[in-house]
Amino acid sequence: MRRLILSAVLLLVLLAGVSVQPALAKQFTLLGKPLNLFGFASQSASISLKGDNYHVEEGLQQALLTVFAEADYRPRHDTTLYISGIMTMDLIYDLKHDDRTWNEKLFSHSRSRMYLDDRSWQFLKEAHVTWTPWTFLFRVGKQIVSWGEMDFFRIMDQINPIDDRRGFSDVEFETTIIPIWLVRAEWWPELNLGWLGEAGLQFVFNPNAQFIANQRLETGNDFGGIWSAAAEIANPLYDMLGVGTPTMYVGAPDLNNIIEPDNWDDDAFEYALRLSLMIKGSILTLNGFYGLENSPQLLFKEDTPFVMDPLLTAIAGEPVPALGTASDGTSILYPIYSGYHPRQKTLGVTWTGDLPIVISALGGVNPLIRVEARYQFDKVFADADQTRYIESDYLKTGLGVDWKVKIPALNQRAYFSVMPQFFYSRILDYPDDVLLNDVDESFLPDKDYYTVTLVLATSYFNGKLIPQVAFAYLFNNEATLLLPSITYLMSNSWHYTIEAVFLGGDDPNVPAWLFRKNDYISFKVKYNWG
Amino acid sequence: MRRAVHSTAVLLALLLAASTAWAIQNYHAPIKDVEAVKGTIDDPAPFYTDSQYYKVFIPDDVWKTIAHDPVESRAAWEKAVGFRAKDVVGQIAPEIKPGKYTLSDKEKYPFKELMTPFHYDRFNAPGGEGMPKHIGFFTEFEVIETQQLWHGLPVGKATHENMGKTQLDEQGYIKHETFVAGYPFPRPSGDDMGWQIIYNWQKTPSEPENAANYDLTIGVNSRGGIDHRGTAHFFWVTLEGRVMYPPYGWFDDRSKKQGESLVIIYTIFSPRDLFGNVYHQVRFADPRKDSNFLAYVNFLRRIRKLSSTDRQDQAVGQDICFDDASMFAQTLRPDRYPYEATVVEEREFLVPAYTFDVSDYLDSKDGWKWKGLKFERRPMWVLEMKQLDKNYIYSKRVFYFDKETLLPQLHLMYDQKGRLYRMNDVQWGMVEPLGYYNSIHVNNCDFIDDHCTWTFAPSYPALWLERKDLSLRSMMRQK
Repeated sequence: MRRLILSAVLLLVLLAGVSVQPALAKQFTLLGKPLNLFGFASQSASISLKGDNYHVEEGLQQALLTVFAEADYRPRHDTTLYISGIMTMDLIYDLKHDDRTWNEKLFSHSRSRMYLDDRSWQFLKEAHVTWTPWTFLFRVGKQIVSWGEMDFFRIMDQINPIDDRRGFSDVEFETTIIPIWLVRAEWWPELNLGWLGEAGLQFVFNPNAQFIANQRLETGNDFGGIWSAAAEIANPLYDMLGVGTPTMYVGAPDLNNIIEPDNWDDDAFEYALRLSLMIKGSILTLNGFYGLENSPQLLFKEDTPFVMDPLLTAIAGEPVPALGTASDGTSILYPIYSGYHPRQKTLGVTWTGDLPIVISALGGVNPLIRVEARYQFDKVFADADQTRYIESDYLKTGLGVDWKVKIPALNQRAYFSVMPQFFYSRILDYPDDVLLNDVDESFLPDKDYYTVTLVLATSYFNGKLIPQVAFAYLFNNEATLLLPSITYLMSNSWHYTIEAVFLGGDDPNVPAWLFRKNDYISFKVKYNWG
Repeated sequence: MRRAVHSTAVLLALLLAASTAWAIQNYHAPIKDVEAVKGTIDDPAPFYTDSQYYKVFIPDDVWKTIAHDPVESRAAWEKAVGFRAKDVVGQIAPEIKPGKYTLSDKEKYPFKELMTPFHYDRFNAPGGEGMPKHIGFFTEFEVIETQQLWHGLPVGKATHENMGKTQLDEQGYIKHETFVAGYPFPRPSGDDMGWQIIYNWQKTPSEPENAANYDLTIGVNSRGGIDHRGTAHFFWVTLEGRVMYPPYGWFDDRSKKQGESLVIIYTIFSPRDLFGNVYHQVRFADPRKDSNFLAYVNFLRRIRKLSSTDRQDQAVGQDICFDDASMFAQTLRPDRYPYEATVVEEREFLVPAYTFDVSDYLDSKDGWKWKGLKFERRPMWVLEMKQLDKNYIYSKRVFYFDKETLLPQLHLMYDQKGRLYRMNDVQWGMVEPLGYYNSIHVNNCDFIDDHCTWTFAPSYPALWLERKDLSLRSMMRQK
């Protein structure tokens, strides 16, 4: 029944979008004032490139349908109302409902988490009113405040949680950042100073009207679906008791013991302040944030770190896990976590400006530099065994270059965008006697971390065909991500994309390695209206 | 706590009152209202006549301060340029008289002699063998008497008063500090004539000085299908040499201190993927000083700095690069993609007439023909700008400039292999009571990838614009 209702809603939205499309302008009039309506629908089909494996569904493995609608209404020249909603569902759960391997590998059990984003905060993306009297800006409502300069990885961007459940897959960008209820005030005084073009002060207050945590990649096919982290650990019971298999998969985690703040709880209020300065064409920002981590820091639950086998526990006299069995015969451990969202105190700086180098033989475009740094005080980590918390100051930095160059042999008329980035982070008070773990960063055996990314893109045929390659390399883990794609913009309305992802790494149980079996190719069609 | 809430409420109320009691009330022409007067395509409605030259959108008290007597303006402009167009034409193909002509007349009269080669090619039925798969062909038009044209009274006066003040260096590049106001070279002559012509456009391309403009654009592919629908709201304020609206001279202390010449803010409403993107640019009087170029990227919710030298890539869905925006927006400097500027012809041509009603239109149902066109004889310069750096996207640009209005009418761009690559054909509209010109219909075409863009670009004076409306804050008011 529920599916029927959703299908009807989807059809109505699609029809409404098509039927109200005017000849050209996307503006309507409501009470004599301009109203803009837009939206899109996209459907992707993702096919695994890794063959049969417990963590992989062979062949078609994901079929994401996204329907997005947004409206912008301006009742006064200085007032804007904006609202957007989205529906994301993975039709693979319907298409493979009766599929044997889909069910044997437990992917069907992840339906409640991965099939349909049906919570109210997922349907309602943004809803805010913006008022810009004089030199002020006020925005109240469910919104996104984005602070960073880097792509790929977020450094300063700590206010909104993100939805990473579907990993590197071809989700629409609109689904990844989760808007939250915020009050934002800005003041942009006219200073008329020779060296300072503009200056603005931004204050953001999060009253914690509705606490939303990061939606993370998780272990367990029965929880994370095809994007479950394929963690594999040694099974001590196998050597001791001959129970299970030599290594185990990690199954769906029990997250019921994670403490989340109540709505409107003043302990969870968040405050953010940003000073923006435009100095001789470059932009410098100074940022401060006092709030909570969007991801909880997790420990294994003290008394019962995993789902226990009552019989073996009684016989052994100590906790013995109840092991499940995967379709390939490997044992599965089901962890139980406790945790909380630690306090986050951060200072940061961003800068972006021109590098005054112009080489006409390369197209005559000067590179832009983007720099970002965040210093977090007393960041809470877990030890590698996830049995206790350890605090350390934490530094995370990034340096990016945006450069457009001409390579006439490959493209006579359009530039190549070349965008390398370098990330460096450091755990300043790394303990001598223990290794660290972080729920977002995974296992952290080193004090310093280095990552590079690179994006290359160009366009052909009057901007209609856009090939792109994105690449990331994590030095510490020797892990790689390669993401080639090609998009054909047939018109404003119809876009087609072919994309592939290749993941790999040598160090077990760290990012990229966990998804080493998730290589895929996907096809997406997107229709924009309005 | 209660006191804090009360104080906040009072403060906000005061702000609300202050914002509504602003000196010049904000007035807008909603896109729907503009389109109700005239559609972007397929609509022969006389836009200026029906909108009373935008008077229906502009409050009466504002209108009174910006309207100029056409008779006085005409006289002042004639004094500035020193001639009337109608007195210097009629020498070539005099047998082509005012009247209506169709394709069947093409060979009967010496149109090949009188028209520009480009317009002569466009005087054809679309779809012919060997012709580009473009929009904007025409098969009938009316030839009218040559009009005497002018700019608004303050522009005419400033142009005459400041004639001779603007200097060029020995290479032909402008000494920007010598420019005061108006058109710097109303009577181009001498060795630097080509440079003087292009600088007339470079220094005063933005009329009116405070403007709200819509770019209503469609893209048409080689199969005649629409593949792009663009709607953008475009504001600009001229910051130097202001003569039309107060403040005169420099716009404010900041522009004077920093030598800023123009600030623009360009907000995109469609296509949907770009909805909410805002581009912001501050240009400087000194051509050696790169402009500040920023973009608010909607899906990132961030302001990103863009390279001001990133100007040769195609504008999304269109058939121009950023250097071709507003007919020609490339910064002229000797150390970066330098040019030679030469006047290769000086004669009359039969070209699309300046319109006082905007009744021409593009007919999507009849081969995308340009209909309702009128032509007039205009005295023109053909300016060739030869690019001296082979790494630039074009090897040369060829402009057809009107000698009386000093405005460019046609712009042809050639790639480094010498092939005709792109063109920019403007239908100028004269907003008669307010004394300025709109590039009201613009046709851009790509001859290599066979694609065209048609833009309906109404723009009207926006006297309420202040710095705060064209600032980083105004970018962030988007979604």
